[in-house]
Amino acid sequence: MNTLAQIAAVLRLSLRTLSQRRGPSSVIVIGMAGVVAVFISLQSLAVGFRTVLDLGSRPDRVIVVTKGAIGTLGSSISRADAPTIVDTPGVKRDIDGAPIATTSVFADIPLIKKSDGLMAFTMIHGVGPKAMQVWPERRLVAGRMFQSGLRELLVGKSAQTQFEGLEIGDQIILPGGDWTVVGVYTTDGGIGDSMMVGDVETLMAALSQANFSTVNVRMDSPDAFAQVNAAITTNPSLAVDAVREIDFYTKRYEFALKLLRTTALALGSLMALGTVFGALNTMYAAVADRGREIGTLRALGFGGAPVVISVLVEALVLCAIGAVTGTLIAWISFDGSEHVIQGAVVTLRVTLPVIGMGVGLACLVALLGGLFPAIRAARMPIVDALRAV
Amino acid sequence: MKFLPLIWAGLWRKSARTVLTLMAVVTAFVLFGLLENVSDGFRQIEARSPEDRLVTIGAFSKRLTIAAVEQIRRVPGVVQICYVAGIFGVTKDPRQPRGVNFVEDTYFDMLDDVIITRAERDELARTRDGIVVTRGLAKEEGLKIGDRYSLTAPPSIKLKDGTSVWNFQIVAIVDSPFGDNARFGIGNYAYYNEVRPNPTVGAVFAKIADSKDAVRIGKEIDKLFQNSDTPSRTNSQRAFTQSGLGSLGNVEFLVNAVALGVMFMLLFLTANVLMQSVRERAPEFAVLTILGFSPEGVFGIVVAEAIALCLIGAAIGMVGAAAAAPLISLTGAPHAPTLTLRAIGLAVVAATLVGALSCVMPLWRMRRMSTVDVLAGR
Repeated sequence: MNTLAQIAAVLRLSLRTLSQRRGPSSVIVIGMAGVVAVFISLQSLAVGFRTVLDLGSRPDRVIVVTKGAIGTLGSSISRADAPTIVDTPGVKRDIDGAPIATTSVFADIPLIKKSDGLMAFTMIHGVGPKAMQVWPERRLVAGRMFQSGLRELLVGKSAQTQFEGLEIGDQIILPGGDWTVVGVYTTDGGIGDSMMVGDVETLMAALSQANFSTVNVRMDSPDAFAQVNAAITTNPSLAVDAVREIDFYTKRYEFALKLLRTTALALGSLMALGTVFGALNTMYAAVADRGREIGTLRALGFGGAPVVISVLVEALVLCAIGAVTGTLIAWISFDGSEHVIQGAVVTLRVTLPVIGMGVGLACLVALLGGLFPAIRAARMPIVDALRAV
Repeated sequence: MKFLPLIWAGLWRKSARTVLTLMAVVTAFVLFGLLENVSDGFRQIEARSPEDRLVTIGAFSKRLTIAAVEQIRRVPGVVQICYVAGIFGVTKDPRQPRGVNFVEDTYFDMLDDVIITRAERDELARTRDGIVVTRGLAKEEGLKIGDRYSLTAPPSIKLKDGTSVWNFQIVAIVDSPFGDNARFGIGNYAYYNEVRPNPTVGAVFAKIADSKDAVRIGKEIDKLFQNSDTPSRTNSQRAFTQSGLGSLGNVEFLVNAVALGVMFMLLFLTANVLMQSVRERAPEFAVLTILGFSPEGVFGIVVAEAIALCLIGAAIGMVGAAAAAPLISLTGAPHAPTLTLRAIGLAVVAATLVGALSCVMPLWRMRRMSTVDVLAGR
C-alpha cells in the first residue's frame, strides 16, 4: 500500500472516531473560535480605519502645510503665500486655465456622540470655490450646497449618523453666531464623511483668524508630486512642506492606528499561545486514547508518517472549525458597525485578507499543538501500545 | 490540611498534563492581568479627574484670552482657579513632539499630575525660564538638574524675537503618578507671557464648591463668552477625561469582553482536563471510598486540586503580567504603573471560580460511578 493511501486510511479513521473525543476536541474548537473572533474583530477595525483614510485620499492630491507643522496643528499660511503655492507648476488646471486648488482652514468642533453622550472633536473644514473640483468625490446627497459668504455648513453622512444635532436646518454655534446645516454629502466611506464643510472666508472671519491652515491642490498626475514638492520647497519666499494626502491623514491618526494594530496582535498572539497549550493537552490525550488503534495500524504495516500526518490533520480540522466559528462570530456581531475613533467615523470591515490572517493564526496553533503529540504517536513502541489493550 | 500531600500528589499524577494545563492557566492570567492593568490605568486617570473641577477650553481650535481667567474667577460658586498655556516642540527626534505647560504656582495646589515639593515649587517660581520635567522625559532626553533644554516649536508658536526656539533651564525632575509614561515639562506662565507675542490660555481649571452645580456653572461660564471671539466649552474634568478616553473607543467593553471570553475558554479547558483525570483515576477514588472517605471528602479532594491548579497558575500569571506591564507603553495605551490590589483580588476570585466551576461536570459524572463497578474494572 502506498503512503498516500495509508494516509487516507488513517485520516478517515481518526476523523471518524473524532466524535468519541467530543469533549477534549471542543476545547480546541472553542479556544480557537475565541482567539479568531477577538483577533479578526480588532484587526478589522484597524483595516476599517485604514480604508477610511485610503478612500478619503487621492494620490494626485497634496496638502501644503507650514514647514515643521505637525498635522494641521501649527500650520498657518498667509494670504500673500497662498497664490504663489497655488500657481506652482504641476498643479492641475481646469478648462479655463485656473488651478484646481483651494485654501483651507481647519477647526476642531466639539460634538456629542449619539452612542454614549460623550463629547468628541470632529473637523470643520473651510474651503474655497474650487473645492468640489479638488474633492470631486464629495457629492451632495441631501439639501443643497452652501453659499459662500453665508454661515452655512454641509455635514458628512457619517458625522450626521454618529453625532447629535446635525440634521438639515439644525443650528451649530460657532464663534460669532449660529451656522445652519444646509446639506449632507458623502464621499462613499472616506474620512471626509466624518467632517463638516463650509466657506473658508466666512469661517476665518468667524474664527477671527487671519491665516489659512493649509492649501490643498490637485496635481496633473500622482507623479507630479516630485515636481510640485521641488517647486514649493525650493522657493525661498515660502517656508512650507508638501505632504501627500494619505501621509497627512496617516500622521494625524498614527496613534490610534498603531494602538489598534498592536492590540490586535498582542491579544491575538497571547490568546493563541494559551490555545496552543490547550491543543497540546487535547492532542496528547487523543493520541493516548487511540494508542490501541495506532498500535494495531503500525502492526499491520502502516508507516510512521501517515500517523504523524493524521494527528496533524486532526488538529488542523479542529482549529479550522474553530476559526470558521470565530470568523462568523466576528462577522455577524461587528461587520459594518460604526465606531468613532479620535473624531473619525470608522466602519469595521471583516475582509478576506483579515480572515486569511485569522486562518493563518489557526493553522499555526494547529501545527504547534499537533506536532509533538503526532511525533509521540509515531514513536510509540508498538508492543507497548498493544499491551495497553 | 492533612490532605494537602494527597492533593499535591494527585495534581502531579500526570505531570505533563498538569504542566500544560498550568501553562494555559498562566497564559490566561497574564492576559487577564494585562487587561486589568489597562482598565485600571483608565480608572486611575478617571479617578484623578474630579467632578468638582471644571475645565474651560476654547471651542473650535481657538485659545482663550487671559481676560477670560478673571471673568471665570468671578462666577459665583467658583472657589479656586488656575490656568495653563501649552506649547509643543521637538528636540532630536522630529516625530516625538514634547509638550510644556506654563502655569502659576496655584496650579500645583489644584492639580496633582506631578509629585512636587514646596522647595521645588519655589525654585521654579524663582527661575524665570525654569522648567520642571517628569522623570520619564528626563530619562528619554538624558536631562539633569541645571541643564539647558531647548525645544523647536512649529513656526506658528513664535517668540517675540521671531524665532520659535524655546530655551529652558531644568530646575527639578519630578515623578508623575502615571509613571514614566508621562513625558512633559512645566514652566512659568509669567515667562510665557513675557516672551510670547500674543499670549493666550489653553485651559482654565475652576474648583467649584459643590460638584452638583458642575453643569449649571459650566453653562454660566460658556454663556460669558458665547458671543465673543473665543467661545468656550466647559465640562467637569471627569466628563472631559471620559470623552478623551472614549475617543479611543469603548475600552471598558473590550477589556471585559475579552477577559470574560478568556475565562470561559479556560473554564472549558480545565473542566476537560479534570474530566480526563477523574476518568483515569476512578479506581483510586474508589479505593479512597473504601478506605472510609465520604463521597463529599473525595469530591473535596477533586475540587481542591482544581482550585489549587488555577490559583497556582493565576499567581504565576499575575507575576508575569506585572513583569510585562511596562510593555503596554509600547502600544501607547494608558495603564496603571503597577498591578492594583483590585486586579489581584479579581484574579483570585476568577481563579477560584474557574477551578470550582470546572469540577461540576466531572463530579456529576463521578456520582454515577459505582465503587464496585469501578474496582471490578467494568
